[in-house]
Amino acid sequence: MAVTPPTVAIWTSVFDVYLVLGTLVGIVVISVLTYSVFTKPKVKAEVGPKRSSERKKKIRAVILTLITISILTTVELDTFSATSLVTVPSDPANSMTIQVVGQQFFWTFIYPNGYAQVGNLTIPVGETIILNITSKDVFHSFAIQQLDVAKDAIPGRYNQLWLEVPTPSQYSIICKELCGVGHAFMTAELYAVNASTFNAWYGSLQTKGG
Amino acid sequence: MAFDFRKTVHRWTTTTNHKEIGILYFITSMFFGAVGAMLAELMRVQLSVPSNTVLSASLYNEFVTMHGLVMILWFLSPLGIALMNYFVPLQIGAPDLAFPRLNAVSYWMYLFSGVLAIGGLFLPGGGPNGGWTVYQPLNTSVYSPGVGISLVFLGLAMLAASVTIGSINFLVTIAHERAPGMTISKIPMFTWFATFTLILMLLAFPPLLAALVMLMSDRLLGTVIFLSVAGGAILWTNLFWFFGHPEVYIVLLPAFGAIAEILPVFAGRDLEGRRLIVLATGLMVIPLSMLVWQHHMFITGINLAELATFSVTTIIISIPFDIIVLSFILTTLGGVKLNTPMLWAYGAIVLFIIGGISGVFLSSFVLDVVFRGSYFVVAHFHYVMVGATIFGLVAGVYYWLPKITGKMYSEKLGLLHFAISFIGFNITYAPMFLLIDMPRRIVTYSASTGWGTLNYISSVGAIIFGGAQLIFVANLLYTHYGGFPSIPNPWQSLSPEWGKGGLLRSVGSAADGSYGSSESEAIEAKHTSHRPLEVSIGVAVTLVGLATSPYLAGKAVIVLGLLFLVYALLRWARDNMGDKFSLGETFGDKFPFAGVGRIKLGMWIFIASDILLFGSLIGSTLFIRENSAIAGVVWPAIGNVHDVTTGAISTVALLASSFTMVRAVMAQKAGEQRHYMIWLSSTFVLGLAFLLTEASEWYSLYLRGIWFNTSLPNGLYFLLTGVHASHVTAGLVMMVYLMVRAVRKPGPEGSKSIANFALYWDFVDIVWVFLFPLFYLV
Ligand code: HEM
Ligand SMILES: [Cu+2]
Ligand SMILES: [Cu+2]
Repeated sequence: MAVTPPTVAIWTSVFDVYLVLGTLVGIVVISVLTYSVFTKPKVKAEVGPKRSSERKKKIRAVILTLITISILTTVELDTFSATSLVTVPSDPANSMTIQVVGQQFFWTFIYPNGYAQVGNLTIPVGETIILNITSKDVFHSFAIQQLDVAKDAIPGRYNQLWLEVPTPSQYSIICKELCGVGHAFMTAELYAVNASTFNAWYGSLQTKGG
Repeated sequence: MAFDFRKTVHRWTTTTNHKEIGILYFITSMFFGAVGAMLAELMRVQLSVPSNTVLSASLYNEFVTMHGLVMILWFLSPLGIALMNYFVPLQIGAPDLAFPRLNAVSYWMYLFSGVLAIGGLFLPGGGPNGGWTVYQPLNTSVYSPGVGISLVFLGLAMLAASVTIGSINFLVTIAHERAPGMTISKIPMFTWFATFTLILMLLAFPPLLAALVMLMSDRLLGTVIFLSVAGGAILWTNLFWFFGHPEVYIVLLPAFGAIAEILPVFAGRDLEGRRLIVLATGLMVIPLSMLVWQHHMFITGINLAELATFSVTTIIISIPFDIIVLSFILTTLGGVKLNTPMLWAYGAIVLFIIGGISGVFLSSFVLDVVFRGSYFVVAHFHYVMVGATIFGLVAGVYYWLPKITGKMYSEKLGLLHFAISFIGFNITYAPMFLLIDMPRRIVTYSASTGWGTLNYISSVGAIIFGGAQLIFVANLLYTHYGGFPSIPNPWQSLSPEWGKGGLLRSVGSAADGSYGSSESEAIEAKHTSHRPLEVSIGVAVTLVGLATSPYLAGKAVIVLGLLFLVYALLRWARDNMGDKFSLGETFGDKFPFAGVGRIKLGMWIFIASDILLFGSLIGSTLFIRENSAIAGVVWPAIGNVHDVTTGAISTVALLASSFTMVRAVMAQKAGEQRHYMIWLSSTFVLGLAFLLTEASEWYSLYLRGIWFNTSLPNGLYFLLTGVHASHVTAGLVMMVYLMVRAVRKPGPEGSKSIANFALYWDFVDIVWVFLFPLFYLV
């Protein structure tokens, strides 16, 4: 299976498994609890231990534990089936690497040709984009929630993220880690544009230092 | 009963009685809870509509930070400790805690630490505003200057000290002071969960303390541990979450303990899977809680192997919780009596199930890419911390209220309190599960995000939920002032704290509805002391001085605080010499501590926590060295900065002092007073020689222009050897005490503490054996 950049569809398909199983388990367990709590005890106000067969109890415990473990295993395997969402290949074909620098309180994007712009990230659709994320001052976190991608921006370190946007569209980029007074407003825009539009724009840029 | 103000103040400020201290903890934690709740309500008002301007961004950030810190550390955890204080000794039939005065020290340190923390909000520059997780380098003085911020972090360190003292005290009590017949298999569930909580406290707080020591060193002494990218952000996240994850269980487990007491009583049958619950918590939750911390760091750039490991450990740790919840549910099968405590316990379990399941979502490193830093996480931890923990502890309070006050609360108010709280809680937090795209800790959002409606609903819920707590206060006041007298064991519980089971051996424990000790003032009179309060005041004043030390007045306050502290400690020592406050040593006859003295056991546990403190400091140093290349920091060559010969001399002096200490112990055992004095004073002289050699090295470095703030390696050297030197100094002070005691009370009685002290001294020496090569030889 070819490794592809994260897509919303993959994230959602993983999420759905958790959602279905989680909701189901939640409903069953809470219903049983609620039912038994809201029934009057049969033996009225009886004090002292009441024993049901030890063997039965043991079997019941084993069965319940097995069910629990199999549900947990199922969801964990579900996560492991989608590791491409969090791993970035070192040098995928047909890709462009853009540096992302977080700083109180804005994002700077530096293109391969050295052109740097603040506050908006323009990318061509259908191309694999690798973002190389770092920070100039404090701990930030780069995130595009609608595209299901995020990585922390940490001073002195470089974290990679990859993404591919299929159709022309616009998304907001946010900071997900409290970084100071301007944190809530540390946003930027992602513009995914047609390859031809992108190339025309990119070709027209004079190279500026980052 | 006439109200005598002076007598009342005297009683509550000098008490060392576990019941009374439990009540103090309860009232204090409720107060801090109210403060934290107020901050939360203001934040919910700010967030109720888009682009709101009720709070400024800086104020919002301060509130969100202080809300988190106050609620977790000064409200929830101490509320559990309040119940533990009152009921653990009763449940195990102990006369009191093993060290009643230390228990009072824990309380006063807790109270003052909270006062310092809240006081920090009002100092120039305000309180911290970087979130309760205190991420770095945002919270160093470069990005967050201000004495208020320093004061809050010092308050946090003081709290860590209080918690550590408390957990040692409780663990010794539970291991050592159980009544005859209270075998391990009979220990009640609340005490079991208390024990697990205490073990986790002992393991989690020293790393936090180490992290805070380094942070304060950065803020006050000019080191750059968290400012440099060699340590910095990643070192802090690791240290913080190594503390932070166990901390969430520290908060939770006392509530589970209360629920585990309540369910069998109201169901009228044994707790299902009692042994299994104890084993699962003790053998899985405790060790695994140290191995999951990086699930808070899924998007920090850790590699796939680490992602996988921490995701799997997180899934595994949810198994014991499943076992606990299923056991709780099985216990209720067949119906229960629905009194207020049972309803609250029911609410707690329901909310824990929802919170726990959402936790499993978060354990997926794939899904967490989006959840991390979003309102989904906020929903998750409020379901477990407010839902499970507060509901469970409130259940416990209602359940034990007749025991504490001797009166019955209002059932009607209790039910109303539950109904409104439960509904209000869900209106507040359920919408947050849907706000997956909304980042947490933002002061406002624009209308175009579409988050407005859910936020509005949540804010309405917050008002309902907050308002419902007034009913709680009303019910508590009603119970105290107007409640009908309760029969001694209204729930017909079989648990020993209610007076059944014939395990009680103490005067204080046997009475019901006394709020503590008044039934036998004559005995209690010997068990009161002003010293705990005085010592805590001394510490608090010193810390206020430290926080404000950039100003001259601050430095003066430090001196003042230290003088007062010394005064208080001298008076404490005098009390001891005069046996003013004596407990009489007992020997643990309980497995597995047969024959181990109370103080010795306490010393061992203290050393364990101190090992974690030094371990965290040394580990951090190694981490920074490992990463120093990123920062372009070059470690000094051997012999270049630190003279190996000087280091070797101090090492020899300290190791020799271990040897003389052994001889002192042997002399004491043999009853040779003169030899005892000779060896003890030799130890003192050698220790002093070590300290002076150290001091001369510090001074010569200072003359060469090398100090805390000259470089990362220099700073670490001064900080770590400084922390060690403070331990040596404390040891020398204790030796002076031991020598004076031996002179005033010749014979074995006056020197019996030496074996316990020797443990400490050996430990201090061993730490140096690690520090010496770390800074001089490699
Ligand atoms: C089945 C049990 C649980 C699992 C699997 C679980 C899992 C997680 C995970 C993976 C996170 C990190 C999420 C993130 O930041 O992206 C998290 C956060 C958190 N959890 Fe849980 N959790 C569980 C139970 C609890 C309990 C019992 C408590 C407390 C009583 C708790 C309190 C918290 C808190 C406070 C945070 C957020 C800390 C912060 O970032 O401020 N969790 N949980
Ligand atoms: Cu930010
Ligand atoms: Cu955790």
